[in-house]
Amino acid sequence: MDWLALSVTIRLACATTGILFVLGLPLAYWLSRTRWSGRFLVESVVALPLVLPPTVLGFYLLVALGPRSPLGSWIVSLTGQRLPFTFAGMLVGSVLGNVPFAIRPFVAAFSNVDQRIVEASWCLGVSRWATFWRVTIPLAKQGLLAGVILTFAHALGEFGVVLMLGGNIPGVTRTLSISIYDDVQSLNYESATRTSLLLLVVSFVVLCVTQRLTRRGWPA
Amino acid sequence: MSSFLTAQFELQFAAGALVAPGFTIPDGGFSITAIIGPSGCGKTTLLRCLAGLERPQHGLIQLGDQSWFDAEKRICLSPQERDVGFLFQDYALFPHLTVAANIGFGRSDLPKAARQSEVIQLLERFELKGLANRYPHQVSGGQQQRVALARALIRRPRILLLDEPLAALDTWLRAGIRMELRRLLQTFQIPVLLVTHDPEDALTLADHVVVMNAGRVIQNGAIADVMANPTTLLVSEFFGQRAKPNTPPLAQPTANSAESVQ
Repeated sequence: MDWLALSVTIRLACATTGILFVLGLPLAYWLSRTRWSGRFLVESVVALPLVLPPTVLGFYLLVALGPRSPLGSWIVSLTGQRLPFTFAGMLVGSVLGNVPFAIRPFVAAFSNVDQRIVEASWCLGVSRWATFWRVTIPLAKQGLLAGVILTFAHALGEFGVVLMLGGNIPGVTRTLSISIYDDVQSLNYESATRTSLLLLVVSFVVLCVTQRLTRRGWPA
Repeated sequence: MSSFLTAQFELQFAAGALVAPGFTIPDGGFSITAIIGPSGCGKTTLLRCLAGLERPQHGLIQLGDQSWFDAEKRICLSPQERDVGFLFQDYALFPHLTVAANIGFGRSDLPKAARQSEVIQLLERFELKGLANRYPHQVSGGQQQRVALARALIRRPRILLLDEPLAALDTWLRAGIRMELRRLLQTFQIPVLLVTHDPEDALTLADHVVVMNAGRVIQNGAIADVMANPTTLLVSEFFGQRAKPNTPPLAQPTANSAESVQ
């Protein structure tokens, strides 16, 4: 087992989940409430990583973030650092690749909150902001948690985007799924088996937890 | 004559339905006004406009000396800024909060001790003692209704809006709860507007009645007067055998079929 790869993988999954939670909540809330006719465009962009091969996303990001692109050179002039083949660059790819796994459960969770209960809070003089925290979030909590767990689990197994954008630097960008690939390339099936089993068990447990969470709602 | 509540507005839905009621409530003391009419005539939309949950395009809504909505002056107060208590059809209690927390919800501005004593008072007044720590799904329909009323009235609103307050209850419970409801509401000296499709509710609960059809008010007044002099077939039919139109029925208003947001 490649312990260094395990630590990189867990750091990557935690950071991805954290960023998507903070950025995803407002976007998902807006998507669940807006009546704008163009919302399907945003929804399609959100769902894109579900069908796009991760290597394609990784390739575009590699080109876009590379030092020859305007975005890439701007980032270099800002931070003095290139993004491709760093942990930060890999994180950008992982965040974008995991957008649907966070946003879609969040949108579903917010959409399931009965709007009349929210309006009841407004009519009691409670501001929209306070209502969001005191009513909407508690009622959507289980669905939000399911989205967080799903994102974390999916980020654990990230391969394509990471390989294209992060490369394979031990301790920096080599994740568990890349370490499995390496093991197989070097015919180290024993190590590949252990790591694969770990990912399989974690994924299964996570899905069991999310299924349980999403089935339980508030009794009427 | 100055009136306590003036509602004269127009709301045109994108789908084409128009809700354009006009009526007044003369004074700010206790009275119950029933808003009746066939389903889809805009009764619920009317309440939602008064509460600030829907925004009309034209007209004005005035309570006392305060403008809640004035299309010309571009005034439209948010639900939070209107002194209004709203009882939703299925009560819309907060399922994640206890009965006591539901009732105290709108008074989080008070310090904890003051809020608790307010809540205890209301629990007693609405005969909910002993249920403070239950969750909404653990109490009966009648009790849920009283929790929702207590939750709305803890803020001492200047007007109370009830959307089909009895529709969620079993038929055999309604008669008893109706009398109880009027007795409870009477102790709060504010006008009550009540939307109902049930003539029995209007007859036993209300002092005044506003009859709506296709988004417009077709008759209003003291309930005995409206029953004695129904101006349209619709009104006499609503009250069944109890009233007969003694004037030739007026032409029905041109049907601009209105839908209420249920």
